[in-house]
Amino acid sequence: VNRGHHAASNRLERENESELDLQLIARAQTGDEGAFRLLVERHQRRVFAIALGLVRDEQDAREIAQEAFLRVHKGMGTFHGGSSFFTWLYRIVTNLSIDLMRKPSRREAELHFALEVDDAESMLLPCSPEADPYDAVHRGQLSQRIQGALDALPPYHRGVILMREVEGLSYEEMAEVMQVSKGTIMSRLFHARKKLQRALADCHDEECVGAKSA
Amino acid sequence: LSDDAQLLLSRYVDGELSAAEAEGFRARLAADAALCRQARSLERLGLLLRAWAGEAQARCGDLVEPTLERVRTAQA
Repeated sequence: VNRGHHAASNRLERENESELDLQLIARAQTGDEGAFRLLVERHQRRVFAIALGLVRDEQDAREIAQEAFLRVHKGMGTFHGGSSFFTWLYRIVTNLSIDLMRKPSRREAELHFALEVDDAESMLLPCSPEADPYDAVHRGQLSQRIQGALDALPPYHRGVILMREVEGLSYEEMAEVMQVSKGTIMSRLFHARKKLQRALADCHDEECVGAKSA
Repeated sequence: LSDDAQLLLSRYVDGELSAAEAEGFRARLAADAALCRQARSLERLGLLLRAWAGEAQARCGDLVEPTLERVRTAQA
């Protein structure tokens, strides 16, 4: 287990990315469409995945991603690099996703869906604990299980676990994106992980070799 | 595992402990099989989620042209 290093290298990688983003924004602010195009190209897939994790519908996620980039374009003149570009972008994506989920028709759908997946463990398909997760997902065996487990989480738990595990955002960055305290972020992460571990237990239980028995 | 131990573990795997705290926690991890199992489980959960995200990203399609079209419409 060496996640501290993973997080550190991820942070370094993002610092480099952030530097390039700032250069592209500076060019885009002068009307350089090519620079803005590059910004969209660089972030579209990650923005889509975060939006999909939150709203669970591919078409809605595409719509949110496009709207987020449009807002970035409109607000670019006011962006001075006080926060990193992706923190700003993810805050827009999170707010748009929350707005969509607050719509009355969407709230009814969420409630209906929550009742359907209330017992997430029982709806999940079996999977082999020995399987390499990347191989398995690429074969499409685990994807539905993970999606089902994510779907069973409240949106604010889905958002925080994806921003942490997929994008490697720090607690401070997530607090800024979600406009809550770091304590709230820690609590949401804790509960999201607990629920996902339960739902995906047979996919990630492993013996720990080398440690003394408790 | 207590909630406190799990919260500390979360901060460790997320790289949110200071260097001194992380060093102390690594010693605790080496001596506690239950804590180590939980750490492995969190690590694997992260792998699963990143694998899911990779697959989700592949379904994105190209948003560049539709986005630029919206920008041009908004500017017109």
